[in-house]
Amino acid sequence: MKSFSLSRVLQYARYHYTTMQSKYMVRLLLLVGLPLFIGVLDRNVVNTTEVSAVVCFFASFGVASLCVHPMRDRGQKILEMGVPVSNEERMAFFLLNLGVIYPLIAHIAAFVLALLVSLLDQYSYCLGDILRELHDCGYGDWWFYVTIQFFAAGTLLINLLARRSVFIAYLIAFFSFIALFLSVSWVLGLLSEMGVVLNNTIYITPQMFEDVVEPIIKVVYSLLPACIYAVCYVVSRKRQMKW
Amino acid sequence: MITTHSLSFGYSSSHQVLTNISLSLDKGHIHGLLGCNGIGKTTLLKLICGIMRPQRGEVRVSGIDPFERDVNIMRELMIIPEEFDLPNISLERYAAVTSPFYPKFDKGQMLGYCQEFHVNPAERLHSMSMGQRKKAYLAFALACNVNMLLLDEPTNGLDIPSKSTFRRLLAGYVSDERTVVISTHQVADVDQLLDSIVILDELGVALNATTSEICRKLKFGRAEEGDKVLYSERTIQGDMAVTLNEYEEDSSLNIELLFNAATANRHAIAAIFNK
Repeated sequence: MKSFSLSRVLQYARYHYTTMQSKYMVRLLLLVGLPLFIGVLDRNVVNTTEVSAVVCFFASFGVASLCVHPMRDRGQKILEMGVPVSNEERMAFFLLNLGVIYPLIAHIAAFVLALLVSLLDQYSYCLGDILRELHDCGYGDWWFYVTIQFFAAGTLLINLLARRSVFIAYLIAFFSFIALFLSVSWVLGLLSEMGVVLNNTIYITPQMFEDVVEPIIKVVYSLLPACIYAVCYVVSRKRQMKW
Repeated sequence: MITTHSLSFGYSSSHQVLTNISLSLDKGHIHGLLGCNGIGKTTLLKLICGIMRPQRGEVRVSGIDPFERDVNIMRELMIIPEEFDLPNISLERYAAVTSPFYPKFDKGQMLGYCQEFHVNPAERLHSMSMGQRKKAYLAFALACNVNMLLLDEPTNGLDIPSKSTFRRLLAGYVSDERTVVISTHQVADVDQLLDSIVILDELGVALNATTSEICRKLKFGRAEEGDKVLYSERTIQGDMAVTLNEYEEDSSLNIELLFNAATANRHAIAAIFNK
């Protein structure tokens, strides 16, 4: 028996969505309901699209934690872990759910919302205008997708790592992130000072930034969620049951 | 077949629950897993299922480490926990999305079991009482026809008629290829079903023997003159004892008495069964 079968991943997806349907419905209502509420009040496509983009980022936390919810929930975890799927298949489902299905639904929801609110807006919008507005808020852009993946992968990792209180794990992760950010800026400051002392400072021209620095940042930023997902897979293999 | 070798597990350094458990649970039997509260019966079932990893020692299910989550093994292994939450959908819908994982699942069988348990498979699981929900899940689990079925306190929450239905269905379920493990404190509910007893205590496995072996070696009831008494206790029926069955007389098994004897006079009982 192979440890990976795509049909089992799809079976597991069907099982997961069916058994968690009420919780997913709540997330979907939040994803659509909040921007729609603001859109109806404000009657402005631009503001609605911006709100839906912000909600989309926050909802990625919710969807990622829902993926792991049956493995953490006291009443569900034994039945969930007893489902005959391998770790690889479960991880493939996480990637499918967070990497494909959620972004797709978020994009469709944002488009439908913008379309609905455009009917109420004082200005008339054609389809091209709506798509342009969505793109201006990041929809369809690589950084938008990668940021969602970064949030989702981070949440997944925290939920897989945390044994008892996931809230404390979120706090630790938040402060660790700030500490990491401060450390990096301190090291960069130190390097800059060293450059001044050694009379070896590098002047980054706008062209150089565009040609060298930006591609490096893009590659590193894109690889970051992939690395976190890889750590999630290792963690899920090592520690399957949370208690 | 399920085997464990020198298995130890603790939830933390100060909370060790299983120490040096070595046992073999053969197929074709209904094994009763007995032990005091907190001794690690449920933990042992979780380790057998591979949802937790032993700290020391090993577990093998059909020769494979269950923690590796080999789908071939997992589809033949099912655990029914003492308490569990089911989604707010009907049993029919639940079975429709879960049964594809179990190739031997038989829907007709499940509907038949539901009828015997007086459970409506079209009713939403959250609108059922705890006992009904348990019966619904038992009907589903039995219809999956897995070769290894692990039950943790299966009769908790069941009404009196359902307990006898459960006994009847489980007696019909077991075959030469199947292993059933029942962890329970309610021995009176399942004592007629069990044909192998495993007793756990703080030191490990206090007893692991078939009921026929136990009855051949031990005698339960009032002690007679000349009997070698291994354990005795005062009950409302008078003094009851576990004695050595030196002449292999017929004796009916009293699991409660056996449990008390095996935990109170561990070494003497172990010496008899390790001969």
